[in-house]
Parts: sequence; C-alpha cells; structure tokens
Amino acid sequence: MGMNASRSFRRSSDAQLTAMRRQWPDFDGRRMGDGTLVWQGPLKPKAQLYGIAIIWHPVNIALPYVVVRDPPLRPRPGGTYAEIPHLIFCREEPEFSGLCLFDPEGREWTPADLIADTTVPWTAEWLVYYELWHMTGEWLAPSVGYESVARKMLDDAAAVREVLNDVH
Amino acid sequence: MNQLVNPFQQADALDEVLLDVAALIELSPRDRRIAENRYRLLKLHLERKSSPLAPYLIDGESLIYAQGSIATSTTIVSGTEDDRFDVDAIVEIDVPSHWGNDHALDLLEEALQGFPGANEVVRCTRCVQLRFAFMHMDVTIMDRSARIPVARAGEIFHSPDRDESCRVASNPWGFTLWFRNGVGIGQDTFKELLRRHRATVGRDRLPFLDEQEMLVAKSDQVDLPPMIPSHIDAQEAVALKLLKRFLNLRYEGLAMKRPPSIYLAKRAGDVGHTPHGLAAQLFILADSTAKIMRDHTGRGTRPDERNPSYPPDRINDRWPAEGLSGVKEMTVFAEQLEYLCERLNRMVRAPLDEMARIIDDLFGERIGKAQREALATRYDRRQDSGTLFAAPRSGAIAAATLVSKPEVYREIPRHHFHSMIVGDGDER
Repeated sequence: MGMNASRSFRRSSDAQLTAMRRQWPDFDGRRMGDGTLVWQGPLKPKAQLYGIAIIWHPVNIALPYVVVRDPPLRPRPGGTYAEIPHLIFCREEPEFSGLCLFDPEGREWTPADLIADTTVPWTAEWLVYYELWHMTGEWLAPSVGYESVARKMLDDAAAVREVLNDVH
Repeated sequence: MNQLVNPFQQADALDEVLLDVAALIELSPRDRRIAENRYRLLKLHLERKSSPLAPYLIDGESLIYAQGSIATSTTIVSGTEDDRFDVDAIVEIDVPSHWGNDHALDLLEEALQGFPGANEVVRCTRCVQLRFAFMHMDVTIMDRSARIPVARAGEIFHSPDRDESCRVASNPWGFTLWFRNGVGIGQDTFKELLRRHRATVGRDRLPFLDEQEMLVAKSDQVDLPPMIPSHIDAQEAVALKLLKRFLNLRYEGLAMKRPPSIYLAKRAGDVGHTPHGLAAQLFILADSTAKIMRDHTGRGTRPDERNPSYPPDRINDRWPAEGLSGVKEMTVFAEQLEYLCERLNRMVRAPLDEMARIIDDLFGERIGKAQREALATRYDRRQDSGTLFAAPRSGAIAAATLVSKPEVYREIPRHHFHSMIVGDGDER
C-alpha cells in the first residue's frame, strides 16, 4: 500500500514540490508551463552517484516517470536493454526507459501519495537492486509479474509455439 | 552511518564491503579459543618433566605468552588457496651465561619435539615453528637474564644457517601494550557494526586436534587464565588486517622481501584513528606509508623504526636491505601501497559489480566470492520483504541487519517492482 490510505485524496502540485524540497534538498524541482512537474537531482544508494529525473503531471501523467540520466542504464555484458529488470520499457529508445517502481494494479501508489515519500526512496532501492543484478544476475527485491520485457517476450514466444504445435 | 561528511562523499558502501572482507579473513571466536588452547599446551609441553627447558621455566610467573598479531588482535588467514593462521609465542627464560647463541634455539627445538597435533617442528632463523594443519606457531626464546628495567624486555637469538649467530634486543610485550593502549578497544559504533558483519559473515576454520580441543572450542568460557590478550575491535586494527591481507597476496608472486608485520603494526598505531570510516582508515595507512617510503628513497635513507616501549628494539632490523636492493624493496612496497590507494579511490564511487572485481583483485577471489555471497544474502528480500532503510538526502540504502540506529534513516514503504512496455501503442 502507498503512504496515504485515503485513495480519493490527491496531493496538489505545490504539496509535491514542497515535500520534495524539504526531504530531498539536493533535487532541483520546477513546474513547466503546462503544469508538468520535473525534478532533477542526485542519489547515492551505494557507492555510485546517479543523476535522476522525475517527471509527473497531476492530470496527464498517471504515474511518476523516473529516468536514470547519469550514468545511463546499461545491460549486463553481452545482454540487451530489454533484459534489464523492472523497467517501463521504451522500445524506440531503450535508454530512456523509466523505472517500474510499483505494481499499478496493486494501487501501491496513487496521487494521494507524496513522491518524496515513495518514488524517491523506491528509486534508490531500485538502483541498489539494479547494481546487485549486475553483480549476481538475479533480481533480489520483491516484485510481481515479469522480471523484464525480454523474459516476457521469451515466455510469449514459448506460449505461441505451444499453441502452434497443438494446431498442427 | 558516518555523519561527519557530506552524505554524497561518504564511503559507507565501501565500508560495508570492507567490513565483510575483514570478518572473512580474521580468526573466529571459536578459532581464537582453539589457538588459546594451543598456547596452554605449549606451556604444558615445555614444562613437562622430560623437556630440556623445564629446569629454566620454574618461577610461577607466566613465562610463555602470545606476541605478534595474535596479541594485537590482527591475525588473518594467509595465502590465496589455504586458510592458515600464523601465530607467535615468546618463551622467556634466564639463559645461562655459558650458552652459545645457537644453544637456546637448539634446546627449544628439542623441547618442542612430540608436540601434540603438530605435523612438523621446523627450525627458523629466530624461532622454532610448530606446524599444525591450518596453523603455524612461531615460538621464540627470549633471554631476560639482564633484568633490563623495562617490563619483559630482553634479547632474542638470531641464528642463521650461515653467518654468525647473535643476540637482538627485543620487547614484544611492550610493543603489544603500546599498540593496544594506542588504538584502544574500538569505538562503540564501529564495534557494533563489526559485530553485525561477523554475525553473518564470520566462519570457523581450524580443525580440532582432539576431543579436548573440541570441548574447549565449544565452551564460551574457560576457567583458566587467558593466554591471549582480549580481543580488540579498533578501526585501526581492522584496517591493518586488510592491509596485511592485501600485501600477502601482492607479495606472493614477487621475488622480493616484504616489510615485517610489526612495521605495519607500528605504522597503524602511529597513524591513529580517523572518524571518516574504515575505507578512509585503510587509505590513510597505505597513503602515509607510501609517502614515507618515497621520502626515504628520495633522500637515500632507510626507515629505522624503534619499539616505543624499548628503543633498542629495532623493529625493522632486517628490512629493507642495505644499498640498492633496499631501495628496490622500498620502491616496490610504495608501488603496492599506491596501487591500493588508487583502487580504494576507484571503489569509493564504483557500482557494486565493479567493486566486486576490485575486491577479488585486492583480497583474493575466494574471499571476494564469499563477500559477494554475503552481500547478496543480506539484501535478498524475495522470500521475506522485511524492512529496508534509506538515508536522508543521499538515499543511501542500508539492510536492516546492519542498521543499529534506525532513527538516522527512514523506512522505505513496502511495494513491489513491476515491468511494462510503452511505445508503439502497446502498453501493458
């Protein structure tokens, strides 16, 4: 569950900006002309320093979109971007994929929750497990559904093969 | 978490990895009890009726005691492939004035024959070595007959195969006291952190010699006076263990004499404590020592380190050598230390997979593999999501098992990572 039990409640843009400024003072937050909120700032979950961008619009963007800007995400040696676990995978430009930080069906985040309380610590957590995945080849954090887009595609292809075999 | 520096400059993540390595290379509490039991056996064996040294071990005072790394709590495993510990003991006696300089070691060698559980008894230049499975004990005779007015100062014997034998001023007891008093028993926060790492990473290695030793090892308390000084968990001592492990591996493939451990211990004591954590402690120790070596080679001098408790005891009397070969020894030593500093500087901002490769390189692949397993186990929350903490500002992530002050962190709200595809109209 998210941080706020009242699901009909929505945090205002000002409340999100204020909470981010208070809790993550090294992030630079701004409201764009169309009301989109953008934060950029550093996180250092283990030894590596990362530059993060968070984008959200209270009406047009349902979920806060988090991108790792610096250093860019990298696949494991010899692997592909689609194998990186728990992304909002962008087919056209995989390096701009967002981080899939929670289960939308489980309503683990709603606009009633503060990005500062949820999205940012979840991003730091994602980055540690991403580093551990590079080290071990396994995603060691709690998750639901497919670990990666590549794995889903493999499973889909296997399912199609099975159906085709039955048809023949 | 070290709160003294900018959170983005902290080395807590590297400290976490180095503390794992330290817990992996040290003697476990059980192994310490086994080692302690062997010091007791040494006393019994040398005092037995048929021992040629028995007539000289007569007063009630403890004349046999631990020295070196076991006394400074800095014993570590030797070698890349085996888990051997090397420990040292001193046997103090009044050496009769008519004995030649080889005779005391001759008698010691004879007296140590038949030592229970020892596979071999080997005569060395200044000691006799008892070789057990996974453990060597170097036993040194010290002549205290001169009654030097410094606690337990005396002379040991230098008895090479070739060349003249001689006596060497020595006071290992005093050096141990100097080191222990200087570094103290360790700061509470650091000790607690180390305890938490040991609880998950530490391992027992020494096999039992017999049933009696098994009983001793399993018992938390032994109703006998201690033979090994109590354990100390000072950050300086832990940094010294890491430096020794690193140098053990670096010198393994070098046909070059390395500085004695006691010289490194003296440096660790001289450097003192830094409040910036273990990685910083190790860096300062290596960096300052490299600079001393470079300074000596630049000026054409050699280090002449003295035992602070007894200055006639020249603790690096056999290293470096005189002349050009000594310059080469100091240069190579400085190069190793500078390499360590460069690697620490890299690790302090590296992702975990790169850090793991460097740990393999610095401390050995076997230790590195065990460290990676420990780290992965610590953060594996697939079965039990448990609690995870994030630090303010930096978002530094800490496993619940390592957090002793949860108030410094914030608990991360529970959730599940997920996957989806966006683009080309296919959103899932």
